[in-house]
Amino acid sequence: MREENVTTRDMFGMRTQAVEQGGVDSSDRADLARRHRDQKVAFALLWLTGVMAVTVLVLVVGYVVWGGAEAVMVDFPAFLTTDPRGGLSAEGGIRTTIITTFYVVLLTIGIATPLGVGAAVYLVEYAEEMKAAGGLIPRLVGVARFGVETLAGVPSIIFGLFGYALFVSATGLGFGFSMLSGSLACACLILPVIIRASEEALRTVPRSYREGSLALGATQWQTIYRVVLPAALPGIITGIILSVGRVVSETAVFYVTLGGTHNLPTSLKSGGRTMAMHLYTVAMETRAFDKAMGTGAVLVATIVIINLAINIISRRVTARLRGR
Amino acid sequence: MTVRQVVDRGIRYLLLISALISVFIVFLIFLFTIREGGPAISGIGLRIAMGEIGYPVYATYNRALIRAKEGELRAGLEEALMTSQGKLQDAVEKALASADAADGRHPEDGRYREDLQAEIERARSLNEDIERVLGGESALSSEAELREAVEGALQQAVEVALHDRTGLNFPSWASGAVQGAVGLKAFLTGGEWRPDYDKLGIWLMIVGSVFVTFGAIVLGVPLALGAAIFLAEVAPSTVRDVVRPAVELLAGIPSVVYGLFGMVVLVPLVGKIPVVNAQPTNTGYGLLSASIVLAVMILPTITNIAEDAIRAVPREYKEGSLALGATHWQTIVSVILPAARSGIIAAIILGMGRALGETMAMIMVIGNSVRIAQPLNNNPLTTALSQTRTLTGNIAVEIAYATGLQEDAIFATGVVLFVLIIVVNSMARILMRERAQ
Amino acid sequence: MDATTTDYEVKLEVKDYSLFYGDFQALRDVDVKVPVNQITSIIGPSGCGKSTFLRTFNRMNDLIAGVHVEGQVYMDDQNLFEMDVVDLRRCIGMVFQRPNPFPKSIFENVAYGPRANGIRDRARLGEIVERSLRRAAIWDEVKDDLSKSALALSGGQQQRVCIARALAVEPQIILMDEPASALDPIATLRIEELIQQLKENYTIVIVTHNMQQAARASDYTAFFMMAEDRAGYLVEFGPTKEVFTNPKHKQTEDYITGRFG
Repeated sequence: MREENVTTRDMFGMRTQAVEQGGVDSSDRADLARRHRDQKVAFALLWLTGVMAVTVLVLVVGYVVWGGAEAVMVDFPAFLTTDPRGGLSAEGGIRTTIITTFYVVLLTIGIATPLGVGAAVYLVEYAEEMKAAGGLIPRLVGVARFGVETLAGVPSIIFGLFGYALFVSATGLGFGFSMLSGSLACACLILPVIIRASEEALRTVPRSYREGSLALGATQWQTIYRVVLPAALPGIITGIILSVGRVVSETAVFYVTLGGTHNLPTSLKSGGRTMAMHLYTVAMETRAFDKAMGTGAVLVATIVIINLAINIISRRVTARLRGR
Repeated sequence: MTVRQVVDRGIRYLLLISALISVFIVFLIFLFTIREGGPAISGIGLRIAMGEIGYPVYATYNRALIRAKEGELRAGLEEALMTSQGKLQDAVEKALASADAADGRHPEDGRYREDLQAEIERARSLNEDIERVLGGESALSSEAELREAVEGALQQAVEVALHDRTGLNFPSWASGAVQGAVGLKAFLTGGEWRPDYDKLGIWLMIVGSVFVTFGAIVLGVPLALGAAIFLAEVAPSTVRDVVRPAVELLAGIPSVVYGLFGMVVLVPLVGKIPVVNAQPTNTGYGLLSASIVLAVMILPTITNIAEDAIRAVPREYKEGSLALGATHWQTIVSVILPAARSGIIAAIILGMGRALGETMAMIMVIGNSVRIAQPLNNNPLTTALSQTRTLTGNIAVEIAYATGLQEDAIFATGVVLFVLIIVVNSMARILMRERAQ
Repeated sequence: MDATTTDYEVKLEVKDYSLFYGDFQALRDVDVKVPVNQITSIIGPSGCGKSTFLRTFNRMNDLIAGVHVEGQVYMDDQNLFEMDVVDLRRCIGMVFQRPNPFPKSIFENVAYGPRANGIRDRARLGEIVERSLRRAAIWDEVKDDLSKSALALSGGQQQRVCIARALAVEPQIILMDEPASALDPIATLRIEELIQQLKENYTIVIVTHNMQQAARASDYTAFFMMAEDRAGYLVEFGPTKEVFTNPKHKQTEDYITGRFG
C-alpha cells in the first residue's frame, strides 16, 4: 500500500495489510489493551494519592480544631475574653494573646508595607527605564533583586536570632524584649512577601494606563500615584492580607524577640505573647493540650477568615480584569 | 528643572532606597550573626590551640575562667601568675590589668569595688608596669568585653608559647586565622555539645537536620507530586474546585498546629512501635515523628507549586501527543511531566528549604536530646526512632538561657544554617537556569 | 451505508452530523463523503466551525468538556464513535496550525508515536524516523544532527518535523488545520508541494482560510457557512474545479469571488 524505498520489513506493514483486509492486527490489539490497563492502574493510584493527601491534611488540622472546639465553646466566649492565668499560664483564656497578636500584626504591617510597596514600585516602574540609562543603577537593581530573593529564603528562626542581636540585645539597639523588637524582626521576614505580591500587582496594570497618563503631561510619580497604584491596589492588598496570615502563624521570630510574658502589653517597649507562642508554650511546658488545641482552633479560624478575604478580593480583581 | 521634576527625582531615589532595604537587611543579618557568632569560633580555636600547645597554658586559662565564674577573676589570674612560667608573666599581667578594669565596672559585682580598690592599691605599689597599664586601660562595661580582654591577653600568651615551640613569629592575625580555622573545624565536626565542658561541636545537629529533611522529602514528595498530577490532569473539575482551594488554605496554617498534632497523636503512636532491647527506649519522640510532621507541613506547598508547573505546560504538547495515538497517561509521563520538570524541581527544593528551616513544630516532636542519631539496637532502621537535635532546634532550645561562649555558639549555628539554606537555594536557581536553556 | 453511490472510493463518510458545546450548536446536519487518497479542503469564513469539523475525525473534540454529538461518522464502514479512541488517533494523524514539536530532540519527536505504540527496538525506531523524515521532505536538512532540539529549527522546518512525526505512526488519513498559516511564503510553498506528494499514499483533509491555496492545491472542496444562530453547516461539496468555476450555490459564488468573508 505504501511506496517503499526501504526493503526492511515494517511492523506497520504487517499491520496495514491487516487493515486492508478490514481488521486490526491481534498483537496490536494486545498492546492497546495493555496501555489502557496501565492507564487505569496509574489513574487509580493517582486518585489514591489525591485522596490521601487531602485526608491527611484535613485529619491533622481537623483533629486540632475538633479538640480545641471544646475548650473554646465551653462557656463561650470565656476562652476568648479571659486572660491566661495560673502558674504556667495554662489556665484561663487567651484574651491577652489575641490582643497582642493584633498589635503585633498592626505594627509589623505598618513597618513593612511602605517599604515593601515602595521597593516594588521602584523595581517595576523605574528600574526598567533606568536600566536603559546605564551606569550604576542597573547594578543596584540587580543587587536589590538578589537581596529580595535571598531574604525570601531565610528561615524564620534566623530572623529571630538577628532580631535578638540587633533589636533586643544591649549590644545592638537595646530595645529589649518588646513588641518593637518583634515587629521590626517580623517586618524583615514579610518584606519579600509584600514586595513580590506588589510587584505582580503592578505588572498586571496595562501599559496603556501609564502611557495615557504620561501623554497628558503628568510626571512619572503622578502617574504612579494617581493611576497605577489605585489600579494595582487589590493585588497589593492581597499581598498585605497574605502577610497578615504569615505574621499570625509565626512563632520562631517572636519566641526570641517578644519575651513571652502573658500580660497585656502596655507600650511599644513591653513584651508579650502571641497566640502561636502561647500554643507552643502551653503545649511544651505544661502539656495542657486542651488549652493548646483551643488556641490552635482559634488560629485556624483566623487563617480561614484571612483566606476568605483573599479569595473575595482576588475574585474582584479577576472580574475587573475580565470586565475590561 | 521645575519643582515637579525635582520632586519626581527625589521620590525616585527614595524608592530606590526602599528597594535596597532588603539587601541592607541581608547584609545586617550576616553582620550581626557573624559578629555574635564569630567569637565562638575564635574562642573554640583559642582553647584548642592552647590545649595543643601545652597543658600549663590551657590549665592557666581554665583555672582563671573557673575562678572568674565564681567571682574571683583576679584571684584566679594571680594564682596563674604564680604557677606559670616566666614567659607567660607579661601576658597574664596584662590580663590582670584588664580584669581589674573590668571588675571595677562590672555592675553586678558591686562588692568588687571595695575589694578591688584595695587590690589595685596593692598592685600599684607592687609593680610599676601594672600601674602604667592600669592607667591606660579603658573601662570595660560588660561580661563579654571582660571575656574578650582575658582571651586577648591569653591570646598573646599563646603567641608567645607558639613562638617558643616553633621559633616562628606569628603576627596576631595569622595565629588568629589559624585558631579560627581550627575552631571552625572543631565547631562543625565536633561530635559533642556540652557547653559546661566547653564542648561545642554541632556535627550531630548537622546530621540531625539532614536526616530529618531527608525523611520529610522521602515521605512528603511522592504524595505531594501524586496529588499535584492528580489535581492537574486527572481530577474532574468539580473535585478540583474543592480540593485546590483547600490545599491552598492548608499551606497557610501555622506550623505549631501541625506540631501540636504531632505531640498529641503522633508521638504516642510512634512510641507504641515495639523495639527489642532498645537503648534508650523508644519514647515516640524522634526523627520519625519529626519527619512525618514536616512532610505533612510541606505537602501543601509542594503540591500547589508543582500543580501550577504542570498546568503551565502548553496545551499544544498534550494535544500533539494525543493526536499521535498515545493514551492520556502516556502523555503525562512522556510529555507533560518532562516539560514541567523545572517547576517541579523548584517545588521540591522549596519544600526542602522549608523543612530545613522549620523550628517550632519540629522541636515539639523530635526530643531535642544532644546525641547523634543512631540505632536503638542492632537494627539500623531504628535510627528513625532515635531522639536527636537539629540546627534550628539547637538555636531555639538554647537561646533562652545561653550565655557567653555558648550564646556565641548559638549564633554561629545560625550562620551555618543560613549558609546551608543559601547553598540549597543557589543549587535550585542553577538547576532551573540549566533547564531553561 | 448510504444508498447513493459516488464515482470515487469513499474513505470517510459523515451522516447527519451535528455537534453541540453544551446548549450551543456549533455544527448542523453535515453530510459529506470524503474520497480516499485525495486532498479535500475545507473552506469558509472564520467562526463557521471548520476546525471543529476537522477535529471530529480524530475525536479531539472529546477533550472539551460539555461536548456532545449527533449523527454518525464512518471510516471504511467503522463507526468512529464506537472505535477505541486511542487506536483511532493513531490511524488518523493531525498537523496543527502552529507547529508544536515537543521540547525534545528531532529524533525523539518523530520516534514518539511509534514508541508510544510499543516499538522499543532502537534500530527499528531509527529506520522509522529516517523514513518518516524522508517522506516529509526534511531528511536532508536534519540528518546530520537528529539529537538537536526540535525547537531550534525554523517554523517551516518544525512543521515538516511535525508532519514526519504524524507519518511515523503510519496513519491512513492526515488532518491538517491551516498547516501553513503560521509560516512564511517560501515555507508555505514547500508544505504545499509536500502535501501533493503525500496524497499518493494518504487521504488528506485540510482546513484553510486561503482560497487560492484551496483552489490550486486541493482535489475536492467543502464550503462551510455560518447560519444566523452561529451554527456551521455545509453549503457545497464537490471537485475543486467545479466548486470554484461552476458553484451550485450563490453563497459559494459570493464567497469565492470575495463579496464577503
